[in-house]
Amino acid sequence: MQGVHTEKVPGGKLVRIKVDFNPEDGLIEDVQMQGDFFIHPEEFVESIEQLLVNLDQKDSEESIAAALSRLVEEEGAELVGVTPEYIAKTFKTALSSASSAPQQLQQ
Amino acid sequence: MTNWRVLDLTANSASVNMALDEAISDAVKAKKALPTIRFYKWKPSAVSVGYFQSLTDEVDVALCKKTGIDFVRRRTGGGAVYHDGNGEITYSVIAPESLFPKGITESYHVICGWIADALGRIGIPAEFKPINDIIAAGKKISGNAQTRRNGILLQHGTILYKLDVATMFSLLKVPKEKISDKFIEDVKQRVTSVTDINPQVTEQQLKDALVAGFTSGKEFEFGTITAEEKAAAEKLAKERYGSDEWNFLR
Repeated sequence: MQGVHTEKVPGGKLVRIKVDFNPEDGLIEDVQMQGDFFIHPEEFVESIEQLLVNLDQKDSEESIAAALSRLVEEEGAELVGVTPEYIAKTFKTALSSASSAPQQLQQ
Repeated sequence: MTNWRVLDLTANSASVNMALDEAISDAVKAKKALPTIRFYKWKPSAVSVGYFQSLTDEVDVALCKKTGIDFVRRRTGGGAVYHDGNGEITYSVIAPESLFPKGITESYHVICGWIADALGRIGIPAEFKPINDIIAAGKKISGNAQTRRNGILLQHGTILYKLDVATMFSLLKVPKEKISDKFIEDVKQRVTSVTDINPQVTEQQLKDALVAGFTSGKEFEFGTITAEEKAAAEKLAKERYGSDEWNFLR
């Protein structure tokens, strides 16, 4: 199942996250983060996506935002027009739309 | 004082334009070229999307192909842009990061200041509006995007000369039902162009003003693209910016 959610960051840019979720094993298979924001260096977006794929989907929005902030700091990356908080919020909403699909509710 | 190379206005395909910006960055990095200010147009007209955008989500690719409009994914972030072949002038600034403030916003401020200077010269007061816009008469007249790699800053952006909102939004994916007369009016409330503000200004005058605004207070010479840059750009245009693998990656 794919879940997609888009947020407009206040005073910033659009961020859209697509989550591929396998309802059978409950695993996140792929995450794509898109939008008109800036990330320096650009390839750092892949580190963000990797972090989101690997985390425990029960993690709270706050703890995901904190993990993203740590990663940004460790890697010396810079986000412009998007924040760890909005990435976490967009991701959680996209994930819940993917994982609350009908076949999942029947289980 | 740093000596700059200015590359005068040329018109190229979308893939060649993006490839030239990268090839010049590599040459500046290798100290084979001076820090460079380049002006260019898009022939044919084109749509570019930001590094993080999905071309298929943002652009009607089928319509582009049908109508001969180029499309390309940039290596800078930011949004989708319609580059009307006769409706804008694009610039790039390619130089060592050390010539600019360390902060991203501060460095946008410096280069966008050159654009505001240029627009002032043709009677259009303009100012930088963070994150990456320039506004005139309260509306966006220029969009800009920056990347930094290997110690080299590349900022490119467009200055709108003549606005064609209807074509712009036939190519950029806005839900079709939104493209009503009202939608077009709404866009015109937010976006403007040089000729919307001052219909007397010719494209040549805008270009001359841009050269003056960008080079003010600098040592510079008009130069040409070297054979090495040209060869590298042709390779990049073919292998990267003209490839589906790059353009449809996201």
